[in-house]
Amino acid sequence: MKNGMHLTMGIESSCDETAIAVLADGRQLLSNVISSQIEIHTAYGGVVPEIASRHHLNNIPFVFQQALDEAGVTLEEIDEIGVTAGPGLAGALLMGTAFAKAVAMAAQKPLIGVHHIQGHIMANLLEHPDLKPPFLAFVLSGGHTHLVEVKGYNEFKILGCTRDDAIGEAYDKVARVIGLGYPGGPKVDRLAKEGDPHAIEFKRVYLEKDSLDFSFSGTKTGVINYIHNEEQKGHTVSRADVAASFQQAVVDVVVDKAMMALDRTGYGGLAIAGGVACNSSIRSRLQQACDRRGVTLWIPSPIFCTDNGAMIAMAAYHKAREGHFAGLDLDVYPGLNMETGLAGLDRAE
Amino acid sequence: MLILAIETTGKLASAALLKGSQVCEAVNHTDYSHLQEIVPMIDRLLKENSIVPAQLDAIAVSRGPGSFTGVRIGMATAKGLAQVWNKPVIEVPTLASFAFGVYDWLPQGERLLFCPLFDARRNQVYSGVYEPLNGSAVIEDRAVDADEQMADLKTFFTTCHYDRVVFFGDGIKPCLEKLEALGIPYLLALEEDRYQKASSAARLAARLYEAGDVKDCYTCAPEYLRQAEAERKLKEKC
Ligand SMILES: [Zn+2]
Repeated sequence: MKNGMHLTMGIESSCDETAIAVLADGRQLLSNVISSQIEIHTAYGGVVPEIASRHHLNNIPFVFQQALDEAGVTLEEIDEIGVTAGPGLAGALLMGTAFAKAVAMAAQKPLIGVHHIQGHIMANLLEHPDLKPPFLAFVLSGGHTHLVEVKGYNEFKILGCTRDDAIGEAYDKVARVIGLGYPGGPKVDRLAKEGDPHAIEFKRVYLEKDSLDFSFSGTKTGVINYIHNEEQKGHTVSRADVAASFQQAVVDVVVDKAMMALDRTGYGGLAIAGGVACNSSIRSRLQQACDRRGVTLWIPSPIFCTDNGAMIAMAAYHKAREGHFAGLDLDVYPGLNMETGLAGLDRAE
Repeated sequence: MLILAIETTGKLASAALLKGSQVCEAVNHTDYSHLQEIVPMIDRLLKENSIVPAQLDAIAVSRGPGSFTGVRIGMATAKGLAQVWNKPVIEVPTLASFAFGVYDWLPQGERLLFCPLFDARRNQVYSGVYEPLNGSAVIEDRAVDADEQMADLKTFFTTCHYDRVVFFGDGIKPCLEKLEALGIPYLLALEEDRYQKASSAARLAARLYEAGDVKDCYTCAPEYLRQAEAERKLKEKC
């Protein structure tokens, strides 16, 4: 507590960002420190778990102190500490969790294990305090493509998810084959602006009628085959057209499925989350589709779409309010399920 | 002097409190559940001994080599505790700590060498060779082919006239045939004393602390003795 404000710390280390934030009363962000390793991993063409873990360990005390300093608070004033316990890279999750547990024990603070995707969804509340469950959430990231019914702050129902590649993964692979390198998403997005989205007709995969699941590997393979075929014929491939057409195919499906989910649930709004929610085409086309139906679209600022501590603090705040605390024996869960796995993060009574 | 020591580099995690010349230790008995158990273990150890954090002089942590993940769990825990409690961190070289264990099965009156062997896979070991009385390294810690370590150990052993080598570590099992083929007298540490222990780390930590060899939560770092695989491959390409 400080000046009557309830303070939550959020710690995130599930992939390649070491991030810690301090949130007041579940609405006012006091600090949000993010130490990104993106430049380090670019040399390897993707995140190398062992290297990510090594850097998390070195970074975390600095990020922790900076988060307190920028918030202008002391650790004694923090009311609870939330940490991402899964899903994510095991070695990376371990660093945030091991550190958080030591800090929680040393400072005698309540500890909260947070589901990373719950964090991404809760990022929407950082800028839209009026947003309250129930609502529909769409998580689009390098590891996840989930349509989620947010029934309560701590109650989720997965309506659909990817059966193969996550959307961000498909972007990364396409970026690699057209020679853009890592991280693929923003690079494909940028190049797509210079290309014709209707130049090449890539496959849109809708799966069974009424299915809210996704499959991006077919579209991705279509891109790879197209490039091989064209090269064999001796044609030069327009990388911008490939990027634009691939993006068009993916976003068509994303928008259609999001609208189907709105139809099915009847909610008056959609909140999107995750690193790929930064994608300009996804943002603008979802916005148009939502406007057309007269429903609200919530989109976090880009800084809250990619991994950050603020979203973990927000999720932790709502877990604490509903009494979901972890024990000091909290473990990490690299493949944590969102519907069934949440209870495992809480202390056994 | 009051030091809390953390050891998570091997298959069993442990924590120890060193008070003057006394050491008490808590060991977990589940393999590789370090993350879950180390913090509760430390919490209990302090409470059972009625120690409040303010009384601690330093946090010691076994810095590696060992399991990369294990090394990091200990180091992250030490960093967190040291940062909150505002204590110095003593980085304990893991292989050297064996020279500071208390072993009642050791033969008396012999000139011994200690050789901890950690299985580093790819036919390699993390190993150093130590004089047990003063704990000084006669062959420095390194990641090395097991055969090369054996050959260097034998050369040193015979030229300097030792009586016996004592082997420790999880590298004993994969190297057993090599040890038998060495042709020098040796002894295998008893199973209960064969692996890393926080009590040994604590005793070495006390020496380092007295020598002023301390770091803080920002500067303390693991000793992996080996690059990440991807890093090695990337450098080979260049
Ligand atoms: Zn994420």
